[in-house]
Amino acid sequence: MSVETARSVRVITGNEACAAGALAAGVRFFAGYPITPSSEIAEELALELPRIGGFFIQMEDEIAAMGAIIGASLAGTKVMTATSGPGFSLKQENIGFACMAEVPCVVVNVQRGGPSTGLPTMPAQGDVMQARWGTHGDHDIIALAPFSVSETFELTVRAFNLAERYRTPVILMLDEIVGHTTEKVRLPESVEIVNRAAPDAAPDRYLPYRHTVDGVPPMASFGSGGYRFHVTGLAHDETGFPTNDPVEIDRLVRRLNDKIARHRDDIVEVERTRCDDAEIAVFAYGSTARSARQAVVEARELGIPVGLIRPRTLWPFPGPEVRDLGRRVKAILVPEMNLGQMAHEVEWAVQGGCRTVPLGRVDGQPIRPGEILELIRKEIRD
Amino acid sequence: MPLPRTDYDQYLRLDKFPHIWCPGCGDGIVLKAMLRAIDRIGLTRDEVCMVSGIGCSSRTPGYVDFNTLHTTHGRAITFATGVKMVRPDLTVIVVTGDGDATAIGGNHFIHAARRNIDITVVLYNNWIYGMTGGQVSPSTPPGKRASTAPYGSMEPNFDIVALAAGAGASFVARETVAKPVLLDRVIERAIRKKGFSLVEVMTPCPTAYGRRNKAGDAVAMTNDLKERSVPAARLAKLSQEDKEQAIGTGVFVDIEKPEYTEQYAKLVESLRHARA
Amino acid sequence: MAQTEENTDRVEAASGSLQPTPEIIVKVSWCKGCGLCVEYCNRDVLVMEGLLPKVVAAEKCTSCLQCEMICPDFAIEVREGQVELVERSGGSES
Repeated sequence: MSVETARSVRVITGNEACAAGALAAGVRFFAGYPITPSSEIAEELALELPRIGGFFIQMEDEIAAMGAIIGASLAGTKVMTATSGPGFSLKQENIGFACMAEVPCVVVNVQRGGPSTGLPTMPAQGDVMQARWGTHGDHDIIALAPFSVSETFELTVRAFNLAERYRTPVILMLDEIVGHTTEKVRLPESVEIVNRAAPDAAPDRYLPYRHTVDGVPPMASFGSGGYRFHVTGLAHDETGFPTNDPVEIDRLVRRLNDKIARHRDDIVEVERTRCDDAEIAVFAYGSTARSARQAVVEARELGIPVGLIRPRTLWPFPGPEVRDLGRRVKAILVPEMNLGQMAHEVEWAVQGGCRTVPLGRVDGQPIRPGEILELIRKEIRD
Repeated sequence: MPLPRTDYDQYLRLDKFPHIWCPGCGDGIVLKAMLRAIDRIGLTRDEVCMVSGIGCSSRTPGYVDFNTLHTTHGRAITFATGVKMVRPDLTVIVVTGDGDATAIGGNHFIHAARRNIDITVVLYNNWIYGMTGGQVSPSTPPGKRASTAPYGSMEPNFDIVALAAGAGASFVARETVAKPVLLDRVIERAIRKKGFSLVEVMTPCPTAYGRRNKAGDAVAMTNDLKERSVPAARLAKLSQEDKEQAIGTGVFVDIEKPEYTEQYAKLVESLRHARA
Repeated sequence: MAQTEENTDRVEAASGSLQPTPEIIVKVSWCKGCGLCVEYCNRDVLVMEGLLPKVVAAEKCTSCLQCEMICPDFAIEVREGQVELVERSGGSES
């Protein structure tokens, strides 16, 4: 029997777990703006960051918070901001800047009912497509969706590591339920940390946007090691300076997209439960996956051969995994707190291999296990 | 005896020249004044981080061999805040324009001034949105024409010095490109000042503003700036009519107040002592 | 890399002193012909010829550097001249 130490076992909310995960991953700069239901993340880091010599600032608006974290990241620090729907909308231009300038950062969106002011204190999953396409232009993005407090800690760490590894913003998609639910968790003593690749060239030969073999240029920091370079949101060549050359522009935009797509094996994570002999499957993520898991348990008790496929990564979308499953089951049920944003992706992925059955709720209420079970029973009959 | 001239070349990305600014645009004059100030202070290229927004002014960082960051429209000050907080040892200079800083960037402008964070903002005021073809700006004088104010601007324009002072900036100055020596001196003071410093620089845009308002060529527009420049101390003595035309120059605010990154460092230090 | 052409005038100072005449260098490919250097020179050292400044009286230059400071294009430089010793006959002339 192991002895649980007070330090490692905690009873905390998802938001607190997010802050703890960020600290464990090495965050040393947080800029934010108050917005329900994310504010606790900022409040926790306002308390903790100064204690460890890190930096916290509440900026004047969400756009400013995003700008500040990009500046701090370019100056060599691991950074994060946290918001909800309306703030996520405001941040989009600067998120695009981070994509274009390849600046590692973590953006937490604790989703609430939308559109617009919507339901500040109630959950939704309506920003899923926005996470993919919220900022203009052709870009790829990484988005993760934890379904428990414990997983929030874990995926926050993962978000930082992916941001550093791929020189990209990573969107961490919580929802109001995951953010505000309290659970008992055992936090690990230490976590595996990935840091941005340091430049391998001397300052006078450094190319900040070099088209490397793996698609991710090594990253120097402002004011360090004698490296001086130019960062711009304009289309640029390997030197970082603006270009109008179609060949260079094409190369850049494709590399920005390919660097994530090519590494999907490293990036995409999917959890399958009882799918091997399943005749129908449930595709669910975030807090809805908690209800889906319970529904699958109850359905199995009734002898229904149903499985759960749960993406921990929303973007890149786990298309191959879903298509594979679609060949073996009759239907994939997609319960989500939106009007079918992931259901569309599932349907596209299975390419007619099986039925896609959405179950959407947009009333600020969680989808209950009973609703999913009822749908499972209906679908298995058909 | 060698001339006391500044060797600008050491600070320039020479392969990027000739620059894109129009013939007679004053922006290059501002850049040179900044380089003279940086040279006199003795800053190394590694120590300087220049951050800009979008517009003609904001092309400046591409031409200088510092740590340079060309951001989104109006947001340079926010990126600069992030850089300065984690690297307070760097000299952070924001280069922005009248539209970039006081229209879309207005909120960030006033809050950085309020915080009194140690960055120097050099605001190139050409009374227009030049880069995008000559649209009206919050600093376009009333009655003057722009592409989106074809009948003359109906709006009062900002007194940017008053705006910065009102927001709490600890150093506020205005000069024009017509007096380069005064300009580089005031920029030097602004950079040396620990706190939020604003230098508003009136600079002619003969292409977009000048043509529409029949203000003449670069020489005429620059001479106009020179003639209308009035040192701050003399402004009060002008008639109302003269005041409207005058460009008040010099240092308007130079006060001591706590600087943000220093306050933050004190907090961190006090927390460390509390733990010990 | 910008091509530069130098228009320089090395004219011995009229007084015959060892004060060298400054070299005024115009970077032809950078100059955009705004005319500010000519306007700001108080000594009529420069005139515009088409779209380029031309040094017409280098010996009057006092190295005040106004032309250099006012040039937005980094296209004019005033540098220390070279001392040239010339055989003279008679006394000094003004």
